[in-house]
Amino acid sequence: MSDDKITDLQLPLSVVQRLIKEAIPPNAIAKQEAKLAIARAASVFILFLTSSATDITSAANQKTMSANHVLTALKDIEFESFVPELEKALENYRNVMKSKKEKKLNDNSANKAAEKVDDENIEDDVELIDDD
Amino acid sequence: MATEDTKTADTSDDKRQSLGNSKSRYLDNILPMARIKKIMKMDPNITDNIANEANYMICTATEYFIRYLSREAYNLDKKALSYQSLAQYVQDEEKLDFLHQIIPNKITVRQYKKILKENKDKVFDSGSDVSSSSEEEAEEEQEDEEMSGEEESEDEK
Repeated sequence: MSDDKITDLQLPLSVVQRLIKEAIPPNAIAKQEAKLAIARAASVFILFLTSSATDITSAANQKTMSANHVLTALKDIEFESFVPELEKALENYRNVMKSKKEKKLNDNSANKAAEKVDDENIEDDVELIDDD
Repeated sequence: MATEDTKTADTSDDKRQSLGNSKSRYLDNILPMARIKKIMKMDPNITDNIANEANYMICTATEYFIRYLSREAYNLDKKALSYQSLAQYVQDEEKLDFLHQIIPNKITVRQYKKILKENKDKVFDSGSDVSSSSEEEAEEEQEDEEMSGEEESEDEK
């Protein structure tokens, strides 16, 4: 942990900047000082939300923080307005993960088939050499 | 102007796709999840495990938070999103208590000097208290030393 740079604990400014631009009208100006302060606030928000979610996880006697713990924590810290959108995002996340898994399985079987073909080709080559 | 906007939107999409080796192509979060996990692990009481779903939820919540804060601060003063309006929004909003120390209101040099002076007066007042109390402590210490000295001499006997 001691090797970690302080910048590792900050959010990348370019990404934060993009989120800010999405939120305000296209031609509006965001001052640099405000952007930096928002990035700092976002880091503190993560810690604040994490601490609240940790409390909820321990109160439920569990060792793994789940998505539901985070959603309950958001209600606790009065950001319940985010919850409906986040529930949609979570559903999307689960679908994406599911399709990814299926794709991986398909890829694996496809790879195996490809390997088999390769093996056969090599065998053909060997036969040719034998003939010589 | 409208065409320019669509152009910038296109380039950001392109960026997203070129960056997206796997996840970002399908999920619309753009903050790095690994970085957020690192920040979460700064919490001294952090749970043993963090489900990927929980990591994703915090990531997405943070994105909503950044958008929300920018929008609200901008609505206070539509000339530009400035630090002043941000600080004002943070100080006025009760649920942003946790940011009061992080984004304080700006003050002028005159106000700063005034606060400094007030604090100095306070320090001066409490300073006399401190000196008197430290004298008392010193006296107590001396007494203690005398006591221990007596004990030692008793031991020697």
